[in-house]
Amino acid sequence: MKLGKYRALVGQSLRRHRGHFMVSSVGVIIGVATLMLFTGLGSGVRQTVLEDVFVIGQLEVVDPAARAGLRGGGLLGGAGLDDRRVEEILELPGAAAAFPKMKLTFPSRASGGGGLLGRDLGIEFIGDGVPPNLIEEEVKDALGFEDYGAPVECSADEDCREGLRCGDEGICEGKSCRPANEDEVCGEIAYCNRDRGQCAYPIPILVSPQVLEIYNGSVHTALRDSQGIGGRLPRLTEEMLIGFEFDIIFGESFMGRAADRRVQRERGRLVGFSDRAIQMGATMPLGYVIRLNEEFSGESAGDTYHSILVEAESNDAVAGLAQLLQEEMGLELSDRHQQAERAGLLILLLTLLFNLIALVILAVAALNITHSFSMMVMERRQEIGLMRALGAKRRDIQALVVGEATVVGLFAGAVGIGVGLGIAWGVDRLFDTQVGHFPFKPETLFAFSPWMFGLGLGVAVVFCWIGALLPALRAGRVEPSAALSGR
Amino acid sequence: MKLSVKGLRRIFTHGEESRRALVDITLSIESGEFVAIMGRSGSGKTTLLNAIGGLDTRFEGEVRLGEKSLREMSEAELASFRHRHLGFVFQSYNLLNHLTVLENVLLPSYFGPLRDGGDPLEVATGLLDRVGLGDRLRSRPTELSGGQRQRVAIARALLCRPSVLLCDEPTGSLDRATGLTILQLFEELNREDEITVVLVTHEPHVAAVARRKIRLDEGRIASDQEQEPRWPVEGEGAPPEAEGTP
Repeated sequence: MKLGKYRALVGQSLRRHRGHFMVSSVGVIIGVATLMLFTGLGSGVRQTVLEDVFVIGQLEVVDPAARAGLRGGGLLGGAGLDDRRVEEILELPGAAAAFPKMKLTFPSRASGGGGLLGRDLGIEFIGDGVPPNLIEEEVKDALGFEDYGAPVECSADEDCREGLRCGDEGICEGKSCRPANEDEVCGEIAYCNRDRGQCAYPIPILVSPQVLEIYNGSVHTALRDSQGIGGRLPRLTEEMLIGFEFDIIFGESFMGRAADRRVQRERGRLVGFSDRAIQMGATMPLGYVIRLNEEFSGESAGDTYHSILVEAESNDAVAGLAQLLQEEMGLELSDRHQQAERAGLLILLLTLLFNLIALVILAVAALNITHSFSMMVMERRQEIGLMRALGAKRRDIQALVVGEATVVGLFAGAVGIGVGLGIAWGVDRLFDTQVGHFPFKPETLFAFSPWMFGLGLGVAVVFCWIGALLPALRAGRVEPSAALSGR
Repeated sequence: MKLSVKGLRRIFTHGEESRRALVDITLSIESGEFVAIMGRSGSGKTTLLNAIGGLDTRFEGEVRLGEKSLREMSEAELASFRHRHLGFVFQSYNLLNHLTVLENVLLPSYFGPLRDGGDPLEVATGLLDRVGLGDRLRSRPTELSGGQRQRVAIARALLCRPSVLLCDEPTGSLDRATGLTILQLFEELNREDEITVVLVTHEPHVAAVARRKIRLDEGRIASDQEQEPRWPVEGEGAPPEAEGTP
């Protein structure tokens, strides 16, 4: 039978039995809608948990020897995390990039926020440093994410940035200033450092978006009805905080002071939010941390890194890369990666469980289709007998029934996808309006990908085929003589 | 196309009961013959027609159409053979009411090309013109009289230009006058197009128009004789113009 004629026959049959077909498709619509809903929900939750909360595409490795307190790690076989290690990691299959990270190894605190909160607040300052090229894309402030403290050779003042001059040793240094003439001497971006009486550039600071999430979702929610300054804390957005400046007092914290009791006051400026920033603290260009560690903790404190952030080429490459880092390089993954793996597994299991429910619904729908199609085949027995008498082969008749099932499947699949998306939209609206803010609250609970629409249609068609299989075989077995004589 | 049947037996079983519908039937029908098979109800007429037409292959013996033995054909070959060489006309017309007259006639073309490779639409409209329904192409079967429906069924049977037309009580649901016009159409097809017509009937006046009459009795051939076709004389039936309208 030619395709055009086949299509015409299927079309005629569908038009004639549209009531039957609509009833047959109801179960499939429900099943596909359920499947779409749960697959989209699983994907959405997975995306939020693994990309926003845990960021599974990144692995942070530490030297087990250093973790055990043996810096340099010779006794436990670790060779320490240095630039050579970074190069070795970059050569591993699946590794897209590797960025060394170093923490501040001496006490510090930060103070500021008067402009936002009405009064300056002080907190412990926990910081680390990363190479500036790690975060270029996330920086939204004019200051950028550069190491302004790095020595720059010069022969004249013109070789130095605004607010700096060429010093006696041929290195750029801050011009002498007073707070009163800060704008005039130091220019737009640099400020007058009162301790040194010299212009200086603020240290660019990056913060993890999780810090903001936790502040808005927990701190602000808990304190908004309280008395005092806590009750006046505003809900913050990234845009509000970009460009926010505060003081950093290196060498002194609420818990203690650096060994030599020296203190250095600098200004920090928030230039952006990044998943690559330290989880709870502030991240600055690596050069600042190396110099500060050498200055406050000794010359050797800037030799080795505390961890290396490794980015995988894709989420699929993460597992293999993690294995190589651990087994071949003797490095240890941060606890966070293990938590992410457990969370991912749990979400996967829940998604599979919910999808199993959808498949059960579809299986029941397939039984319903078997029943409906069997009834239709019985009703059309004489018609089938006639077609056989006129030259239709068994496989023509079977193909006709399967063709009808295919159209029912495509129709039910498309409607099911629409219903699933509609319910997802409704759930999202309810979630948005009825559920209060919490850390990492996503804009949508669902994540639909093009392959899911293919899955919905495919599953609908396959279950319709399964349902129509038996009736199609029965239709093919109709004996024309018996059917035409009404036997 | 020559039709030959040799030692044909057909037994119907229902549970433990069995009934012999055809017993050792042997006959041969030459190309271009107009044969009436008649007998009482239950004599095996339709069973024989179904066996000849390959609609029922659960028989013993041999049925040959031309050089081909039906038993040696696969299901698909048999379907293809039916499509290319055989036309069927049934007592109850077997038209599909959800299709138009033209679509009903075109139905066989869905299962394969026409034997002479012609354009099905052109052939179908030509046939409907020939049977006097050229102005009813878009009508539904339910809008037609019994005689008109049977003419649609005949046009459908002729679409693939069959060699043999197998008609099972084609006038059984029609009044005598209308039945006569249908018989005239068969006679015309047999004479002008040289189509072999095998007509099953229980009505003597219908069998009388054939040139050969085979009488079946309890599944056996009781008589097989050539005859001079005898058309009803004036007064025996209404003229063709008197055919009923729906």
